Amino acid sequence: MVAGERRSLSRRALLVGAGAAALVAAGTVSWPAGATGASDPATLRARIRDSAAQPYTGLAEASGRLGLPDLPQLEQATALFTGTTRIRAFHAGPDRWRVDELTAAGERDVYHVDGAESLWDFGSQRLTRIVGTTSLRLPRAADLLPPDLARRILAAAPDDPVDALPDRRVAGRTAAGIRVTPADPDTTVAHVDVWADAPSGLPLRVEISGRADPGRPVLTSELTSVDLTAPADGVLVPTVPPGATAAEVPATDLTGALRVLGPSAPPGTLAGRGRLPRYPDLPGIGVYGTGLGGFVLVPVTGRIAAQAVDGATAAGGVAVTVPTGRAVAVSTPLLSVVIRAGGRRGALLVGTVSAAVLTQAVTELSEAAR
Amino acid sequence: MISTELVLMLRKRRVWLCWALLCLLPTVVAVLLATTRLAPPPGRGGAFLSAVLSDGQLFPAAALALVLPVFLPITVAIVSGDAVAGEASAGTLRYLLVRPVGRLKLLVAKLVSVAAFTLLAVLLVTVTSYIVGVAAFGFGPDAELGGGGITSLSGATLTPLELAGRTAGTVGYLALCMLTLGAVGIFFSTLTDSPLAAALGVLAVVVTSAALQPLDAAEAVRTFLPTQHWLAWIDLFRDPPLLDAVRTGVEVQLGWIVVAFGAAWANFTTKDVRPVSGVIGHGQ
Repeated sequence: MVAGERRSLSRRALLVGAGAAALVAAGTVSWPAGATGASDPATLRARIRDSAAQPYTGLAEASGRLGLPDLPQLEQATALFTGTTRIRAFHAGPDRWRVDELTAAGERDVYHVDGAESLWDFGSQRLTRIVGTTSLRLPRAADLLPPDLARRILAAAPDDPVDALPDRRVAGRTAAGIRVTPADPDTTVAHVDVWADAPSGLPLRVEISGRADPGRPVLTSELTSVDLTAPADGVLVPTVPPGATAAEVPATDLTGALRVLGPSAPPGTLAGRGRLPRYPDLPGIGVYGTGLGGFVLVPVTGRIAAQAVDGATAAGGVAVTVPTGRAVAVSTPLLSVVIRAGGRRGALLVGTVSAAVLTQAVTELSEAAR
Repeated sequence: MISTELVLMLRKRRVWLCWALLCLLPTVVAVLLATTRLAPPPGRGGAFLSAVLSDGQLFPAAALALVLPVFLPITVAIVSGDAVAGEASAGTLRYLLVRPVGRLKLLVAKLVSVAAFTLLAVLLVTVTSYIVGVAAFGFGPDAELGGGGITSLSGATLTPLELAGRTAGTVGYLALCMLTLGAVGIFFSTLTDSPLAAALGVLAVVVTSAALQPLDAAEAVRTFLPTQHWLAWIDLFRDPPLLDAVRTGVEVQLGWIVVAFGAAWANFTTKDVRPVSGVIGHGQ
């Protein structure tokens, strides 16, 4: 009798165990991708770059592990690259969209309708209308959406070689993949993998891997669900709820702020890289290098530079010997940063190139300032 | 059998005490907020807490977020841990099993009574906090315009009907999340004769799950953690409502309930119920 009971106990326990295993398997097994019938990688790249007009509604999750130090005033921007961000997108077209950054206690939404931008922040109960435009701004959640991120990267690296990747299922769709491997030997980017919905070319997943550890992506962004139909017009119209405040602010005037600084013109070449004709309206700012290995030179006041050098040194930055002043280099898996202080003006160099390139650039800058 | 269990649950003093304590915490918070007018800054403190000062109708959501991490799991652990172990330690389990009722039926009745407890717990917190919230903070700016709705997280105004619908969804979802703990509690309750040990077992599951949740190393199992989806209901207060996380949450919670209840069934239907010394043995 006892033996019979034990047998039935183990039979029942086995049944429950098998049921649990089946449930876990159902939750983890990824369905076979099926064939996308995708064309060659170069055609897919072209299709992805032309996919901005494809309307969609979806939910994305982006996670970065860039290990950036906390920068004062920039927490919201750096958090995008150091943590996980939930993003909801309503995209009717390149000039009609809304992107919500979802947090556990609220959301921050950007409405972009016919050239006008409005920001809704539930925490501060405020709808802010941005008047005017600016050519340079801080990164925001919308930049991390797979379609935007992929198109931006592919536009920056139009000539780097692409290879086909195996198809995979993303957001319930079969997605065709391509891998872009930068030709530049000095870039920190090992490769960028993009999976896109083959018929429409809409990017569904992006993985950026650094040279330091190419096997583990440093930044991953994926649409976890997507619907390729245009959102209803109603969701694209920002409203000011009762009790909330509505404000209008001019777009950040970087040109004015930089002019006050009186920066010298950025050199034509730095560390052997030519200056690109970008942001001609922003005095002192120079963008160098092509493809995925580039960096930007930003002039800052001497006081801010000194603070940043102290902060970066305390955070484990490596001191760089320069002819005048002092400088420090910070390396993360994807971004390198070098800050130089000393005198009335300092300089900040940030880019997806190795710290050695930035060190050379800052030495050249420092010699020029002598 | 089920109605007997429900009546038995309602007769227990500790059940009413649990409900009363659950409703008390949000009330204390509401009184403190109303007297000091010091809401936590946006983005800090519990969800919705920074917004309740301007609209009392948001207080049920804030109250649920307040009791969810600790208070609610403790009460569910106490009640579910007592389900079988309580009968065993009191010596009444033998008498229950003497009746011509299957053990599975008894377990189902226990699960239904725990489900009723969790549903009523979440419902009572919602109703009392709505009354307390409106009394302390008023109906909000939309009511002054004759609307009576609330501001969704996305900024669009939710009508009173939409608010009622989404609150009902939240109550149902949270009751299901707590029923997961209830089913785990019933399973633990079949393993031991000590209700306290079973309740502590449930809390150990909650603490383990909450500890694993933020770990990058636990990414592969994160979806299956019972606490991972507890805050998914917040998505119901966005506009348009976002159902992805809630749907996943429901699936995971149902999976846990099926497995935990199955384990309880596998263990209890073959359990050797012995008399408790000093209680049953007395008359033999």
